Amino acid sequence: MIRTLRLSIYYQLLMALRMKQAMFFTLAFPLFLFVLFGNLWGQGDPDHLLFTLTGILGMNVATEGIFAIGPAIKDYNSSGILRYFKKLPFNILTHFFGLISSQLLLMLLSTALLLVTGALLFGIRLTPALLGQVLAGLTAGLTVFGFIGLSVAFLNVKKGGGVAQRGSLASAVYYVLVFLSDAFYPLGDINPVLGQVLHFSPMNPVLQLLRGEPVAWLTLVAWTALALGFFLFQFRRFTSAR
Amino acid sequence: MEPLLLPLTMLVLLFIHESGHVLAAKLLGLRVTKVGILTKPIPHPYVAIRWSPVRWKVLIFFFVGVALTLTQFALLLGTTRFFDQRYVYLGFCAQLVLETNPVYSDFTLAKQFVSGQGRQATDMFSLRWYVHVTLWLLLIIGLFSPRYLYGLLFL
Repeated sequence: MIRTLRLSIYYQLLMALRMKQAMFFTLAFPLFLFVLFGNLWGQGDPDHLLFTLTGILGMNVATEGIFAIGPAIKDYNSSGILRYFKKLPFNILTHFFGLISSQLLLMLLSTALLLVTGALLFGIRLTPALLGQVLAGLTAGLTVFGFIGLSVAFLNVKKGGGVAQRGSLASAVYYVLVFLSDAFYPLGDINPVLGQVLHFSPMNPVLQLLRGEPVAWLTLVAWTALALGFFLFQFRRFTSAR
Repeated sequence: MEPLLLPLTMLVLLFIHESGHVLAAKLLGLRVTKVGILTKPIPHPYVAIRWSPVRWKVLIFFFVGVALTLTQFALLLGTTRFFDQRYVYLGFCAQLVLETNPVYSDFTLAKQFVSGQGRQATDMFSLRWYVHVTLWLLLIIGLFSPRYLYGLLFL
């Protein structure tokens, strides 16, 4: 069982590492943004550097949740591969666990890269408190965005809608989540009207966890429950395409 | 009104950039097939030539635009320090960043030409592309960071 799981994680990781575009957006792009923003706006201002770092971590976890896990599971289901997997002599859950674990490992690698870059390039102190906040934020983020990603992936806007259509819906949700939040700038301070919208954003509680600020738990729990419920509802009425 | 100097500077530089391509093509004896505006991937003016087997001529044609922008940038920096107009400086920087970007620029077209695999070839996500991205990142930081050129000139 352990060996099957280990192999499943290994092969899923190998498959992910071979997707050059995915690797760019998972590992290199967050680093690029951090080095750029850190140099342009964060020099000599440790608070701003931490704000930027945690904002990018928030963006990263949203990317993983919305684009990496949900669409993959939806495609397994819609293409009929799930039925094929069920005939294989190993538990289907092992396969999904491998998929999710490999994505988790990649996200942890990306986070470690960002933290080490922050420490080496900008002198950010990697205190246990900061690491604890980051872990808490990533866990909460992956849970809520994972379910949002699954809900979006299973939401058939149009019967037979193509990959591009589903992708564009996920992108729209992603951009709204990232840019209508405090990820890169204190939106509430810039525009008080948009500041009101932030109370309902699932991204902000994740950022609050990452930044060690008081957390809007009600918003976070409500979004997780809502996304989970919506996903389960969609999943039950979903039929395989083959 | 001062911020308008930024798009105005970029427009003038864009005109000089494209004129440089046309002039270089004429001087090098390359056949210009089209001058116009492309809408994809983003709206931009362009000068198309028939690719010549004489490699250096085509490469000069590709790089003359960015060379002109760089020359003007160096001249203005050395002689007038951009007239203390930060928006003129920012216009130059934005234009330089656009002209050297690793996704779609004369550099990527030149790489397609050198690869010999036609206009659809791409080296995106290769090691060479990552080197380009890194150099581009350093250029942006060097131009816009308050610690470097921008700070030296205006802060």
